[in-house]
Amino acid sequence: MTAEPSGSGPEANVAAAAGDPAAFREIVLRYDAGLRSLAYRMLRDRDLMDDVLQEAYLKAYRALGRFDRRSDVGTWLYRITYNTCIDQLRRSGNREWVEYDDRRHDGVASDPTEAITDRIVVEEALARLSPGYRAVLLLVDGQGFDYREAGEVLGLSEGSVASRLHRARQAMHRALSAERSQL
Amino acid sequence: MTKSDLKTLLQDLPIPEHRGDFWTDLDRRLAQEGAGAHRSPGRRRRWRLPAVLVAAVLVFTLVLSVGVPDSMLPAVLAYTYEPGTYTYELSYVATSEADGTRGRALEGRDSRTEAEGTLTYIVEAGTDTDARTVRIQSDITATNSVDGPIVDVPEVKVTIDAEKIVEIDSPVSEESVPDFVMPEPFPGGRRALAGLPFGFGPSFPDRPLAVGDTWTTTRPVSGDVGVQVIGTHEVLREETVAGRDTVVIHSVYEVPEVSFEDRGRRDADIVIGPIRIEATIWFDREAGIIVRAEVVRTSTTQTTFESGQVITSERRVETVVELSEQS
Repeated sequence: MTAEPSGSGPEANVAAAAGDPAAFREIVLRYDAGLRSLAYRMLRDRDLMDDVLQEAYLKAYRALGRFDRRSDVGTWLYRITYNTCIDQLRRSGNREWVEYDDRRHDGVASDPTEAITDRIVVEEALARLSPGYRAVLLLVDGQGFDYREAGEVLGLSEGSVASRLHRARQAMHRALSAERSQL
Repeated sequence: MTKSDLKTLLQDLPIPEHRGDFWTDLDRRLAQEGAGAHRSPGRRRRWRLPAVLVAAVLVFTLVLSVGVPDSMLPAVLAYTYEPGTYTYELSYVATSEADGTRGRALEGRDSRTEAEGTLTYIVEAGTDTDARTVRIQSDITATNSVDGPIVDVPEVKVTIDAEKIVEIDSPVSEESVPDFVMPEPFPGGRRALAGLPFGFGPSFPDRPLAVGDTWTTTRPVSGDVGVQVIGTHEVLREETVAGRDTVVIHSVYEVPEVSFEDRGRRDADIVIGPIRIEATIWFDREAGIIVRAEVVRTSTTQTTFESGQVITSERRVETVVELSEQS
């Protein structure tokens, strides 16, 4: 996790932040950069990113009293943010991503051999993935979550995270390859 | 490209900044939550002690003038079902992931069902003085999707229109609404909504309850499968919600594994469970009704086909209902 590894979050301060916007903001700031990255790549719109993060932070603030102190506050914030992104995608009827169907790509050489450094290509390739694939890649490969943490955010078991990540990586490779071919 | 190349690419992606007024706007909205405006850490430290003193003086003055602030506990809690119409806003999200193979790969197949709308309970006095007739109606819209590849099901109207007679002081449990059938797309969710929010309140003991008190309940799982649902309940606190004084109760319901054979359509051995339900309810003691409920249900189902192929499905259902109208 970018800002706080598991177990080192300021859980002890969470209860104190209930009803204290300043204390709550201090907690949120520790994770805000990573949450921005996740929300932006999920939504692909900076204004929507801000709208969703405002909504997610307000939800978290309202739920502080119910936060289980045995949990990791960072993972908790990521989960709220992820779910709020999904809700936003549902509301907007977003179906612009094009899922790569394994059956269509069986046997297709799709392993790009040269390094791809163009960020636009990466962004566009990510956008081709379903939100579920995007999120697991961003969390595990992009932000260093372990499977347990990612599972807590995504509402999946560790085994499901592993299998989804495997498929997401394959899909990302194909998407990168497709993007490169269009350059 | 290697796995580490991909990680590097993802880690190097730029992070967009917030718009200029993001934090100001957030502070304003947090303050509107009733907790006061944002203060800088330094300022907060300077004022912490005086604020504590002011609060202490206010509490002392309040105690002197009106006595100890009212608490509704300890008290005996009971469902009263006063005749009337109760409308609840409902939000329902169910996610499941299947792993396994049968014919075509199901590995990691995710599905998500969402529903929003209202549940209306019309309570009328029954022929018996200790009974009420409860009519439950719904106006709920649901969507369902399965990804990898994505399959979207168009919006579906979920209709419940059923009537039950319930004993006063008895929650409308699943067993008491056996005729309710939830249409798809509520996979496995028959009756999952019908009893809400009346269905997820625990049975209360006869003794007065105070904050911290716990009790347990048991009831058979519907379907005559010989398994009991064991509920453990705790009074967490008192809380005012939308002007109502409520008692917040946390419940955990656990159902052990249930095994059975399906020699019909699927020709398989099926193991359902364990099932765990965590519910938090806000109970208006005076009105004798639940005004809010948050319920999370997790379960595992394993299906073993005669061929030896196994599919395991994990499901999580989150439901929130909140009383929006009472007449």
